[in-house]
Amino acid sequence: MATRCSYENSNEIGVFSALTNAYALCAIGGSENFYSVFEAELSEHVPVIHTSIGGVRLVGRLTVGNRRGLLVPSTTTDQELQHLRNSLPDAVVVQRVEERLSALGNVVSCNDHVALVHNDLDRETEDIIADVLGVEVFRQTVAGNALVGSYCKFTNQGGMVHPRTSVEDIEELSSLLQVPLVAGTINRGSDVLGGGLVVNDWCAFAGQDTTSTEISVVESIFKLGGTDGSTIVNDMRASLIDQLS
Amino acid sequence: MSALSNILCCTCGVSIAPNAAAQCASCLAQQFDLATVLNSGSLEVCRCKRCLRFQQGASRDSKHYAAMEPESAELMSLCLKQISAFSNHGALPATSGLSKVSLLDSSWVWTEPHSKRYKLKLTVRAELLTAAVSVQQRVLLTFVERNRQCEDCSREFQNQMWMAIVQLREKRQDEGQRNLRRVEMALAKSKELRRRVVSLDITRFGFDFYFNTLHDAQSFSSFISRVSPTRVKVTRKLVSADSHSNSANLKTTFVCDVVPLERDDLVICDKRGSTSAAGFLKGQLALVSRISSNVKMVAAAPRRDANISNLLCELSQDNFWKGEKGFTVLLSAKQLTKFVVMDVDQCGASGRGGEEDDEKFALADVMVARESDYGVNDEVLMCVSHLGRLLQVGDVVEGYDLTTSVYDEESIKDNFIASFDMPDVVLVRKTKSGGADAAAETEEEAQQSAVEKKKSRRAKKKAAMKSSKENKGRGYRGVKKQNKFEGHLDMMGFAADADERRALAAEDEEGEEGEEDDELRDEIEAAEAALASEVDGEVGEGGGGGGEEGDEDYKGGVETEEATFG
Repeated sequence: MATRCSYENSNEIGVFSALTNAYALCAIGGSENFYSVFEAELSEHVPVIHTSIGGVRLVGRLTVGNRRGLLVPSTTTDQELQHLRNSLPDAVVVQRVEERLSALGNVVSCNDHVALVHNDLDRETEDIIADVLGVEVFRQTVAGNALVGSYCKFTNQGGMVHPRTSVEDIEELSSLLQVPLVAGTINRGSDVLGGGLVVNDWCAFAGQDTTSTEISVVESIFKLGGTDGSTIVNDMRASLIDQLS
Repeated sequence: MSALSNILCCTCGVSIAPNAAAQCASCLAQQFDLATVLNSGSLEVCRCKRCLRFQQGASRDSKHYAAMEPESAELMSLCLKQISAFSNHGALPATSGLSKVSLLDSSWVWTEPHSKRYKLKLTVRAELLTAAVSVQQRVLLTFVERNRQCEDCSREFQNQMWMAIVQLREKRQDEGQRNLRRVEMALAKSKELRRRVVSLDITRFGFDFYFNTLHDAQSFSSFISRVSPTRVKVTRKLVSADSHSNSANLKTTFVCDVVPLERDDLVICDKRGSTSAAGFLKGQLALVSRISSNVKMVAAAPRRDANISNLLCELSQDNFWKGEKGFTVLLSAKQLTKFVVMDVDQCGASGRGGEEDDEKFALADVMVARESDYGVNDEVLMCVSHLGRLLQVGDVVEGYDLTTSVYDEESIKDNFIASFDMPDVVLVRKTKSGGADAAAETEEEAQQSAVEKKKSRRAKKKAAMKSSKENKGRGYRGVKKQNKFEGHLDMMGFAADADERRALAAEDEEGEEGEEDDELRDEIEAAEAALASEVDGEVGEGGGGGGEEGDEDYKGGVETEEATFG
């Protein structure tokens, strides 16, 4: 299910929030509207945490994480780190990273199994990503952009890449990530997918400007549409039959 | 580079190659409608209803009006200037979501002239503010023609149309006034002169010409003074004054008094007049031999032994007006009668005739008989004439017959010096040469010649018919020109009756007045050329004053626009 929302009149909600299968982070804003939208959708399943990173609201761009862990930049204060550790489930590891490219959300894009990272990322950071998040790490670009976190977004179900990505690149990335990919836009033609979209395996939030076409693309590629049990059962049955036969 | 994967148009969902706006062409066209953007504001062109000229420049207060053809390039540029997006360096309002608009093509769509609508089909290109995408569209714009009275026309209606007046006068009692006719002819020929005359009044002794600007009047009066000897007086009348800006609105009057002497006039030069004016002719009878920018006179009754150079006098208009009372016209060209030369006896040594007056003229004792008396009685008249070199026995000459003319002999006696004798006849010019042997013809020869004359008359008739045919052959244009010319004269109210006018035209065409007229024509042409060059100079300077600035503004506008469109 994809929901449209905006953070204080900004469509770039991916800047102010982060979403994984295990938790969600929200920036502290003037009003609670933004937080309420996440809370309404997610409170039954995962914790939604109010936080800032180093006193800055850009939690989505400064952090990266999946269901196993959360990486925060070196600017994060001890207090914030403690707050995160307290709020997150025990299974999620929180780790501070000493990385020159401190906007981790911009330079890393990951799901629960694979991560694409910026070419210039430190070797140590790469190791930490692999250890903490439990993913395979690939140094990649998307449509010639090194900021993979900004220009592509993928989950365990599927992913979207920059609209100007060539067919070959999409195929290559798709084989790396082992999920289907599609070129698309968000926020009425914006190519900054990381900024306009936060998504996990069952839920997505997009900027207020996102058109219905874009929403439908998001829902179809991230497989958010048929959440009514029967499709899942059908999928499971097909795979079970496949395994048994 | 390898092929890009298609994306879905973010608004309509159609599969397209990716672009910066991530929208398909039709969605972009729908979203950014350039027609409404360009139509913002009023698309109007202003036109003076009376003179049908268009107001130039984008500003509503522009004072410049220019004639433009419908569907012309000039009118198109005027229309394009009305579009606020173009006049504002292509910048569009931020609300439109478009940044810079540029014109790629423009063409006219025909409209009914009475509809007062002009339609332009434009191809415009604009760039999106959000993405690096340019939108190109074809737009049909309709311009409405509004009526706005131009300054010239409004001035005319407000009765303030003239700022300067030229009062042309020739104060002469008889109807002659040929100097005025000469100005009239010059006016009829020169379109440039007529164009500047705003209006014209007929007054006693002359005309009033009205002008829009002082400069026009000045050049007109100087033109007159080059064509005929004229005294110009300038007076000014204050209409209004602005003490704050130290400017004043003046009406200027040029009084052009043409010297009231004409060619062939018989003039009494008063002995009490000034010597500088009349020269050697003081206290004598003089004949006006030529009029150009000054008056040339020759003694009408010279003494037999006089030196020819002492018989001539050149009178400038200054000198004339100084001694104005000293000149009285005794007889004028209307009173000319015809004489036949019976005998010519050269007085002095006769050299070869030249162009100069003192070479052209030579004194001779001439015996003439009135043409009316010729063959009736034997009355002959004797005179001393300056035409000695031209005359031969048998010639027909025109001259003043003072024996039969009516004038008050007693009252004019005081005007002459003591040695002056009133002549019986004053010869003015030769009209027809009779040949030296004409008088010596015997009766037989006369008969023979009569036969010859008949023959020649027939030949002449034939020639005349031929020439009339030729005239017809010359065709419609000639006739049209003639009609137009008459029309002008009618319009100006110059010629009182048609006969006079026709005579005038004929006189002009045939060049009857001979070499003197040629010279005069040259002089007029030279004056007109000078006037034309003056006009050119004025245009080159750019009109001066406020107009100059306006023109430059206009040019600036065009340049920037070219830069924008190019």
